[in-house]
Amino acid sequence: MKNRLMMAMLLLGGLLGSTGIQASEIRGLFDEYLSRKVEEFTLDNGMKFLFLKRPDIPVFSAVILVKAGSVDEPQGKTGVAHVFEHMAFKGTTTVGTKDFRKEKPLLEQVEKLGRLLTTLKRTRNADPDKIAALQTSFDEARAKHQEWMIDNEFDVIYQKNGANFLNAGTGQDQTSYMISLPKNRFELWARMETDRLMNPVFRQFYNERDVIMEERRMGTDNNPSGQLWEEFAGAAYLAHPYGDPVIGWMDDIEGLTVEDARLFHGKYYVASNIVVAIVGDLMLRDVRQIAETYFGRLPNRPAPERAITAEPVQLAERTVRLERDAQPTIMMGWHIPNYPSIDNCALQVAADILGKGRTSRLYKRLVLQDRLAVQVSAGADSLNRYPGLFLIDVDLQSGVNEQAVIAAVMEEIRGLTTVPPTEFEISKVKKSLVVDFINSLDANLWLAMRLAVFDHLLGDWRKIGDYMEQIEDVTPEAIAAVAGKYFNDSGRTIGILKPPVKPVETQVEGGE
Amino acid sequence: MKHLIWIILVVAMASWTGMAREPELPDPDSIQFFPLKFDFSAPEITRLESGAEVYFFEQRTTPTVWILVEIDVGAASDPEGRFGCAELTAETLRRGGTESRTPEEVDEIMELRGISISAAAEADHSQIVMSCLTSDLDAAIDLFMDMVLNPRFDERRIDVSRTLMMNRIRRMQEYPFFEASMQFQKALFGANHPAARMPSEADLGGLSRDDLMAFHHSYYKPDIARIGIVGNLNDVMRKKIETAIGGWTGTATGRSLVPEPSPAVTGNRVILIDKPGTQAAFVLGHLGPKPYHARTHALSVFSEIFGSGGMSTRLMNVIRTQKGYAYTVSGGFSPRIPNTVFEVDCQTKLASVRDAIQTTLQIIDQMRTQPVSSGELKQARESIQSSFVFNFERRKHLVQRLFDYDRKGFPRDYLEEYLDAIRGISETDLMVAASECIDPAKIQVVVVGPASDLQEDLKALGWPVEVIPAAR
Repeated sequence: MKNRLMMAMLLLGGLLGSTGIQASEIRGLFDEYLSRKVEEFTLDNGMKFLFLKRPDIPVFSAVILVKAGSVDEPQGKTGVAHVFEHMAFKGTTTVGTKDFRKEKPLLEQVEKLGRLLTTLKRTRNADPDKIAALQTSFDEARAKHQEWMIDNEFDVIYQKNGANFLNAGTGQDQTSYMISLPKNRFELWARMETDRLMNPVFRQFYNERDVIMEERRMGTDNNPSGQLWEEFAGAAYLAHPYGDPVIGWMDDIEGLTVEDARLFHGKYYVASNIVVAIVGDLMLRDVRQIAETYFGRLPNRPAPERAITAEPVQLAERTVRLERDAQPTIMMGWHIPNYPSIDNCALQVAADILGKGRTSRLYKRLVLQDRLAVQVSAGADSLNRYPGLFLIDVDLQSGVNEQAVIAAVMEEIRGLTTVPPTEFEISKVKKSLVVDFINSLDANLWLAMRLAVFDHLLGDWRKIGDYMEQIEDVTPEAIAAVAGKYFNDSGRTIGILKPPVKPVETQVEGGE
Repeated sequence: MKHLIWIILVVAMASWTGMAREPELPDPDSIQFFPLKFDFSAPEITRLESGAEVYFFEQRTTPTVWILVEIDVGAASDPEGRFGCAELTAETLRRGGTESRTPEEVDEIMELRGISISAAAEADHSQIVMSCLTSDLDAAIDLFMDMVLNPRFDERRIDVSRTLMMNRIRRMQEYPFFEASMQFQKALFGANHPAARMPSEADLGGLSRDDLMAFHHSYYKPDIARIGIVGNLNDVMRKKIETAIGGWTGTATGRSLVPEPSPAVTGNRVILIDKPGTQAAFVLGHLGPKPYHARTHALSVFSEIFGSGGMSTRLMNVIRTQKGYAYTVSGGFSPRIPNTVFEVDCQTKLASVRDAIQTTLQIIDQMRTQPVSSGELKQARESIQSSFVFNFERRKHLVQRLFDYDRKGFPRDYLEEYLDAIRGISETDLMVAASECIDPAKIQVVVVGPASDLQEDLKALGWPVEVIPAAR
């Protein structure tokens, strides 16, 4: 490592020293702020905990990361990971009910009728009268069940105890449940979270399925850039589920039942498949004792096995064109290996040189010089469970020819092999590595999130130190090599969003 | 340094012991909490000779420094016929170089040092924000003050700013909710009010470098400025910052006074913006009282129960949880300048738009005419009280909030007195505040969605429906 760094410094003509960046500065910072301070322990059932004490203010943030996301969904059930995440706010056998013994049979009736109605509505040539009759019985069953439940009690308990950011997020690779609370509510948090991991009750499932359809209409169906992303990802991936939307296809969401969500929870919400990160003003001893008392109740079961199709090598260029009344946008992507492939580190640096900041090659070329674009970004997927994409995203100026933009982007990409990174470019990338790391320590919640995600995707959160150091060590030769290796035309996917061409006389003048 | 001791006592419920042996989880209400005691250091506030007020907060979590310069001038001070001047000035300040540094040199220094600077203008104020590592403070403070004092406003970069601003507006207009919200502001404040209007391409095209120079020369002065500093700083570093900002002198031509709203219509109406889609966005409400007034605390509890307190508000319980109409629905009084706005926001499929609006109106009516339950009030007060500590978690957000209170005329001890004031709010106070500050006869609705599907349906509300074309 040291030798390679020396080589890099020689190639850079000693510029690192002149900007005040010391060799392996990032490793020093990592050790100082995280490596020496984060404590970890694992319960007997396999549930792993990371804890960082931060006494600045008497609060804590906690993230429960379940190592299951949309990539783990069965065929025809896209969206089920996200549907379960919504169900996790619907209470438990002790929260959200007036009397669970009385509620249970009514809830089972709702589930049964909901399943029948879902199937009937999706049956070809179903008798509309039968659907209407079943809908009436279903609505009656829901009304009866509603009398025995308490709306949003899970949320109410957290809110009155001072919850600051109660939320959850479903991604391709994981599902996370997050919250910040005053520090004296730590035991309450452990109690609530243990309960919803162990005893979730799937109340109001069919109302929530409607809510999720609204979420999809808002984020994708009525949002041109959401639609472009869905088309683009679908084209870029032929076989791997990264090509499916996290929220699910509308047809799949409409067909989901309580049973689907229950199966997903049963298979993946297992103690050994969960990592928890806690950052805040707590004592390790208390964290450990309360974690054992509560989360220790989860049964000891092996983590689920998964079989996910690997994405085959892309043989032909793929282009999607979407016409919408929207500002023009271009996306370009190439398949790349994920970390710990060492190529991934060089691709990270290449992405920064191309698209990060106002001195980046694409910004200078497209925004400042050629005035073709208003914004550019470049990024390399790195910490994913499966290989991802190198992605370039350009917001075009109105009326610009998209082929001119694609040609200019390709010229800059090829330039990585012919015009090696300058001393300035390498220095600023390394500086931003340091600044981004320091800024990532700012808020308890986001730091907890990062620790949990790193641990999930690297198998050990400490490897993030190696990762940053390897990025710091990237040489100009490595950047040229990966540019030549991955950015070929046949492996390229292009997405184009632009307004439909209208005859001039029918154009409507816009408002202000 | 002034220390305030906040003690939040939570009534300890019946104690619960021996949980590890029990198969059942304890009742959440039975878990004991020790009292939360925290020692909140208020910011050190000093006034410089130049008139600028400086708020300083120490935050030792990371080796960084954050500086906010806020001046009391915004779009309300755009010269006659020069609309967009405040915004274009702020937008170009960071991008356009300084007298002694080209724009390219500025970009390079910032990226080599990891310095981040941004600027933006609102109706009544502009903000310039800088952050960097403490190890780069010298270079950063030098560049930052150079930008504030001696901007170059490079012609080419002004043109880049114009393009970016127009593009940003057009991209935002792709979101139905944004269009609804902008039209709602126009309906409430008047189409040309600085709180409602956005610059057009013609507005921006008509602004020259001289306009920006003149605007900067007249208004970017310390006597109308507040400066917030948050960081992990030793005495030497603080001295450096103080010296740098102490060199900023001069007197502004004036500060922005946002005119009173002048809406064309104040009675019930529906404005339907015709735009294709499978979901509609709607915003409804009317102008509220001034940001700080006799009912401010009651309205903050009202908003918590009505629509701004998470998943379990009245709006969320009915419109999302029970009816499944929307992913999110929120509502309450938001403090704007010069008035608060009473507002409900929602997005729902076309078939449920009318019922979602009618249900919202019913919920509003209940809040005005019936007292909330004592349980609801207790829960809202507990929520406000126990989450209060988070106001102090991130000092930069706290500085922004204190500046905001200052601009809107809140008393200086507003936060200190806040919890006591909230404790004093009764069920009746809430109902009185709601009936005083909400007038059903003034509610206006803006809907963005396809007129062919919605126009007839919306007539059922019994209010005039005006259809206008979408901006894009």
